[in-house]
Amino acid sequence: MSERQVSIHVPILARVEGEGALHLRIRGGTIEDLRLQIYEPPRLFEKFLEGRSFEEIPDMVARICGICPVAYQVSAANAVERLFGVDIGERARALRRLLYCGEWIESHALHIHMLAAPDFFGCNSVLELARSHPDEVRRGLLLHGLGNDLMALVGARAVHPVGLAIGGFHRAPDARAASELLGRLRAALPEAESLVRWVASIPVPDDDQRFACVALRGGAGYAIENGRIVSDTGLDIDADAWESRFAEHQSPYSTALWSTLDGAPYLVGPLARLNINLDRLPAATRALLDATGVAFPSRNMFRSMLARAVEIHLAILESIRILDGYEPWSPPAAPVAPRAGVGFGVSEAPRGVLWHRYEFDAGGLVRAARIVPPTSQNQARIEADLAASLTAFGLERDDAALRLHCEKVIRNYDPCISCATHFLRLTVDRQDGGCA
Amino acid sequence: MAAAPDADPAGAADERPIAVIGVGSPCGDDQAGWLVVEALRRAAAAHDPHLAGVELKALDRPGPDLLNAMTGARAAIVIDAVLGASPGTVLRLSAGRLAAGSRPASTHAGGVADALALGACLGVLPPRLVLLGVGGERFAPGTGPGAAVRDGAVQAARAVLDELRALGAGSAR
Repeated sequence: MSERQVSIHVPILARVEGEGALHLRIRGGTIEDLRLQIYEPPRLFEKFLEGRSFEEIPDMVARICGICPVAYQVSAANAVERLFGVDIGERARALRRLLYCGEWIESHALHIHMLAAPDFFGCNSVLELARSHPDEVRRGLLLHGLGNDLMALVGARAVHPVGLAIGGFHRAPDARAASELLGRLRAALPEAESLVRWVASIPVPDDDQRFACVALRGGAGYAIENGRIVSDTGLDIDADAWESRFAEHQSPYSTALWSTLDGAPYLVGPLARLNINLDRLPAATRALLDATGVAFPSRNMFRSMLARAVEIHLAILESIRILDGYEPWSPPAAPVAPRAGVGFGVSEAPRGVLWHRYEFDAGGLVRAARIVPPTSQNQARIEADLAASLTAFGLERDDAALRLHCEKVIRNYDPCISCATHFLRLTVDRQDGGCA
Repeated sequence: MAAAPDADPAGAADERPIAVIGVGSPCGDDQAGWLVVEALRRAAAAHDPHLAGVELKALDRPGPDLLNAMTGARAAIVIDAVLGASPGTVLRLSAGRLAAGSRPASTHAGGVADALALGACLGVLPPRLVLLGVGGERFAPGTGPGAAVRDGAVQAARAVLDELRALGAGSAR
């Protein structure tokens, strides 16, 4: 057998949020080098926050991402309110969960239909998918729009919403608008059920791997806007203990920091959440998932698309529950008095656990900020997954097949590189031993 | 107000609304689409007869939601800032020209051309679609629109009213 050497370089990863690249070198039938390179420039948000008032944080951190601004706002608010000892009350908590449900629906619908699904039908883009599966794409647009409208209802606008305030909200949504959206959510529930069945029916590779799942868990329901940080390897800590178990380090080829749990890669995101919170699914969602016949917990990252569909269904159910009987109240925010100290906050962004840490002076000005987004946490896991998945797929396959498989694996994580740096160029360095 | 016979040669009056959609962002001249919608909202508040029953929408990103905004409409007029024309110049664009000449500015969501191409694939575009561009040159975050774009938005709002008249909107219906 000749010693085939392969070098693949994907200079710009398509259908991911942000800019990154992948370099792969195969020599003698084994992967010699594999690097996920995030080259988008650092965005320095943590430094921008220094010297700003606690009241400005929600509007500033919302600008980190156009897809998941609510996650940044809620993790930050959790950190600030916890340090300042603010109880926002049940109604504001429910409204934050509702706002977050809107973001999950919008982000997951976008990822499933625009970014991930085309891969599984041999399509290069959603335009091609729209020709072969118009009803499914139309449904995706409907759900995406519903999520955006939910965000606009609570957050005043869908992109970089401005409704959330430290202490609660600037304004409680209007009852008539809430009622109108409640009707649309009820009408969309069968669409979400069909989506779960459709995604479950899409054939995916058998690609079970071993990895630790990390997600929030807490309260009676499926953790979204808060919770304890839990893993399926025995971790169960509060947000303030993050630094005792999780570490970030720099890699010479990536502008995003890498995270490890007790020194090892781990997974955050919809699959990790569903694996850890299966028993917290609403009964209707659990029955829908069970009826698909797909076994969970799952160790197959290709099932993350189904996890997203399941989370759309549960987010719609949760939104209906919260909006049913909703009445505005005033004032919508609890009083806030700043104090010096360090606050920690966490929530489940669409792509996984989002951890924030803020240090304040006595006047409530930020002295230091630290934000650990889900995509940087998944970087090490993505590389480990690529190595295992490519080996299982077959390193002898041609460059185009290897490249597509790499991109599918990476898209399973729905990486948001703009958040992490703050994605993919693939270089395959393949050299055939007989010709090189 | 009694509905006038529809101009539709097919005969029956089409009761579906007309959607006027201004696409924009807070970044400098990119506010053009929003300015046009603001001007039209003022005209609607002053009971301009051509705006009766017309849906006026300001979108903060085009992407897939542009299609949701025009779903069910019998006609749509989309206004957005464009590059490549003198600031404030109002252009009537064809979908083909737009698609050929534009690229999405962000991976987070496609632009107007991508959304319209997707809408064409799905067959969800309104039967009548008018695209108006307002030339812009400065799109920096944290800045307002230039004077030329403000003037252009006023002209574009007049152009929208002309289009609505031609489409038989409001009192003309």
